[in-house]
This record gives sequence, C-alpha cells and structure tokens, in this order.
Amino acid sequence: MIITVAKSDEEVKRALEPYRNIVVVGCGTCATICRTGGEDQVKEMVEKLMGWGKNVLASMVVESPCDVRIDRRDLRRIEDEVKRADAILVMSCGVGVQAVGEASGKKVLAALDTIFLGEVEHIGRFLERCRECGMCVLNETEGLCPIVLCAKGLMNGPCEDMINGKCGVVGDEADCVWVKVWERMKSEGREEDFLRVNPPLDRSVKVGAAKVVW
Amino acid sequence: MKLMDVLGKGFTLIGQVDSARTVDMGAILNAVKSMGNVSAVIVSEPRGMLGVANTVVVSGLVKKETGKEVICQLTCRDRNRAALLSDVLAAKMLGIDSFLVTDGGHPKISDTPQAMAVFDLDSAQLVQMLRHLSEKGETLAGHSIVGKLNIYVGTMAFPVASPIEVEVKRLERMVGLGLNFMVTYPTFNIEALNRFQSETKRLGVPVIVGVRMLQDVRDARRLNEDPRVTVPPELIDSLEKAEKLRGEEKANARLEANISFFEGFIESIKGKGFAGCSIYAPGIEQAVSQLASRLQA
Ligand code: SF4
Ligand code: SF4
Repeated sequence: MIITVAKSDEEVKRALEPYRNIVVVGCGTCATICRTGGEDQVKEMVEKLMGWGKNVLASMVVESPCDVRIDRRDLRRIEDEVKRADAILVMSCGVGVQAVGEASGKKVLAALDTIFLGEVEHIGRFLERCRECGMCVLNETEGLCPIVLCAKGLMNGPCEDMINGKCGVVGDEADCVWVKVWERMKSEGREEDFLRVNPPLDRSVKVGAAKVVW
Repeated sequence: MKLMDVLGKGFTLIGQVDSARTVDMGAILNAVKSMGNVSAVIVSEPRGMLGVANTVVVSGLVKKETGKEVICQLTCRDRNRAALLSDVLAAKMLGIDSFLVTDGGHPKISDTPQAMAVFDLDSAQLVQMLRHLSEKGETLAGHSIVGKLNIYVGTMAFPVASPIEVEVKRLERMVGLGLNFMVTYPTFNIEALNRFQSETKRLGVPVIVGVRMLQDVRDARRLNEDPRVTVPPELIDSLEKAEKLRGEEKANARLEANISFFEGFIESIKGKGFAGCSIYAPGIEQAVSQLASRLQA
C-alpha cells in the first residue's frame, strides 16, 4: 500500500491560486484506504474548493489513478469537463498524479503528500516497510527490511546505538531490527546464519527513473 | 613499533584523542604529547559532533610530529565507499596503517541532524574492504592499487551491550572478515568486561579495554546520562571533594581522583587476558602519563 497524507489547506490553496476551473480526481485504491482520496475526501475537497471561489467542473474517484489505461477509460466519462478545466487536482499518491497528467494532457496538481510504502495494521495505523531498494534482501534478513527498519540502513547490524535491544537513533521504543533478526535466527537454531556478511548494495540500481519492460 | 607488534607483548597502554572543529593542530599535538610514553594513540571523532578536522590528516600530523603509532578512526557515516577508499590511501601515504572502524553515530542524534546519513557501506563491509585492500591489493570492485598496503583493522566492541550475545555474534562476524583487534567502548563495569573477555576469548583477537577519565564532577554526571554507563559512586565522590578546593589544588585533586581510581581499575583487569588499555582523557591528557608511571612503579 502507498501511504499518503493530506497536504495542508494553505498549500493546496496556494497551488491552485492561478486556476479557476478545476476537476477533482480521487483514488479508489490506496488513497481510499488511507482516507485521503476516497469518495468522502473528494466530496469534502469539492466543498472546500467552492468555498475558495473555485469553479468545480467535475469530480470522480478513479479506480486506480496510477494506471494510465484506467485513467483514460474513467476520465472519458467527464471528457468535456476535463477539456474545459484549467487544472486537475489529484487526490492520490505522486504516481497517480503523474499518470493522470499523462492520460489527460492537462496541468495536474497534488493534493496529497506520498510518504511511504507501508503495511496497514488497521485504518489509521500504517507502518513503513519497504523503500524499493531494487535488490530485496528480505530472504537474508528473516523477512525484516533493514533499509527501512534500521535507522542507518545497515546490512550487517547491530551498531553502537543499540540500547537494550532498542534503536537509540529512532528512540520512541523502536526495536533494533538487527536484534529482531538475531532473535528469529536463534529461535530456529540458526545462530550461525548471523555470521553471514551481506554485501554492499549496488547503488546503480536506483539511478534515474526505473523501468520494467517486457 | 607497529601496533600489531605492540599488541602481542603483554599489557600495553594506548591513548586516545579526539579530532575537533578546529584549525589549531597545536592543541591536539599538545594533548598527545602530554600523554607521555603511550605505545599508540587513537585519533577519534568526538561523539555527536559532525564536521571535525579529518581524522586521517590529524592522524598523519600526530604521527609526523610525535613519532607515535597512530590508530585512525574511520566511520561509515559521512563517506561513501569511494571517499573511504581515498581516505585510506591518503592515510597510507601519511604512514597510517591502523584503523578503528565503526558505523558511526547517526546525524539525527548529533549537533547537525539535518545532514545526510551516508552509510553506503557498514562497518562489516568496511572491514571487508580494508582486508581486501591489504591482502589482495584490490578494491571491492576489483580495481588494483598501486603499491602495497599492510593494514590493521580494529573495531569498537560493546561489553555492556544488551543482549550481549548479539554483540558477540556481530564481533565474530567481523573476526571472520579478518579483524585484527577490538577496543571496548568505555565502561567502568569490570564484571561486564570479564564476562566479555570469557565470551570473546575463543575469537583469538586482542581486546583493548577502553577507559574514560573524567574532567570533573559535571563531566561524570553528563556521562552518567548514557544508559550504558554507570560512573562508580566513589569516583563521583572524590571528584566532588575536589570541587571544594581552588586553583591548582582543585586541578590536582581532580587528576588524582582519576589516577587513583584507574590505577585500581587497570590493576584489576591486568593479567585477565586483555591486550591493554586505551585511555581517553579529554582535556586532562597529562593524567595518562601520570597513571602510566604509577602503574610502572
Ligand atoms: S530490502 Fe527492503 S527496501 Fe529493499 S526491496 Fe526489500 S523490503 Fe524493499
Ligand atoms: S540500533 Fe539497530 S536499528 Fe538502530 S541504527 Fe543501530 S543497527 Fe540500526
């Protein structure tokens, strides 16, 4: 799940300043779960925009705005409004914003901040779990991501800031992930696995916008 | 004498000095000189302070000006693998071939929390890189180096870490990579040190015990805020007594508090299998040389 939070009203207002005729697009997938871009939030946004003197031509929740094909399909239903719009305010992650821009050829604005790839424990409690390093090491680290869960992103911890099994960098009682890795190995009698040295990450994997084509 | 020769020969005393946010090498040199006849000096980075004079350059100058064997601390915090390599090559040109490798504290808990945390390599990978350079004359990427490097690599060990078993396992991993020595994070806990020694003896790597002298009672209280450190009450007491004195008497009483405490401390760890002791006495380096002569007597 891509976790988003709403930008402040002031920031959205400032971004919309030069534009009057607006279309609002929400997201039926992640941003609906995050309650940042679902039906209710889109409705609230429309009211807010009208309060700011904007002319809202149309609003809709696109099933998954990150998919350009779905954007094209869904936006067809409000084709005229999109054509007349000065800007589309997109209530989705940054991927959705850019895909809507591509599908519509229009000026797009982001209503949300995209903060991480996370797990949903329950609505209102989202936990970061992956930073898309491109060479997943979960198979070596007992299914725990050291890049996110270790404050230093160490591939071979723990470090000098571990205090009683907790991470002294993050504080807030966060566990040191390397102690967790150790505990999992130990509980299965695989203590020797902890001696394995994980190699440095290949940073070239993350240069420029990545592409997967097949 | 080279560090590894020193470490093989009974209990040795080494000193430690921090680099600083300064352009005044004189103060650092004076600190080292006042340590007297220590067998080596660790040039370290002050904890929680980002952007101090490069430890490689400071190490080179200490070596040149004092002739002492120097161990240069290298952390993974600010430099990617290329910058670490260039520092190590430059260090070698300055006659430095012993390194104390640590991950380094996170900028977030430093005086410059906005800085990017690099950690391109971690301390295990840096040990691996240094061993590789030393043994094969090659970088991790397989590029060869012109000239020969004989490098000794140590790391910081944490005898009071809890859970200790994970710390011992981490060190064992480092030893498997060719670690040459360890220096313990300063502690006053002899029991923890002895336990640590018995658990790491099988690794066969010399362990240097880190001790930290205290400038005054305020310094002691500040250090006590680290949850891993407990300054013994008797040391705090004698530092407190020194506060009642004035001028030179006060300074002498503070030194004496340290020297008599650490004399007992070091006597009780001598002969227990440790390779020596590294004394960090920021601002009171003369205590190191006084302690050394007391221990010899
Ligand atoms: S190692 Fe972590 S950041 Fe990398 S892909 Fe796996 S979960 Fe994501
Ligand atoms: S304490 Fe553990 S989680 Fe925190 S930075 Fe160090 S190794 Fe990483």
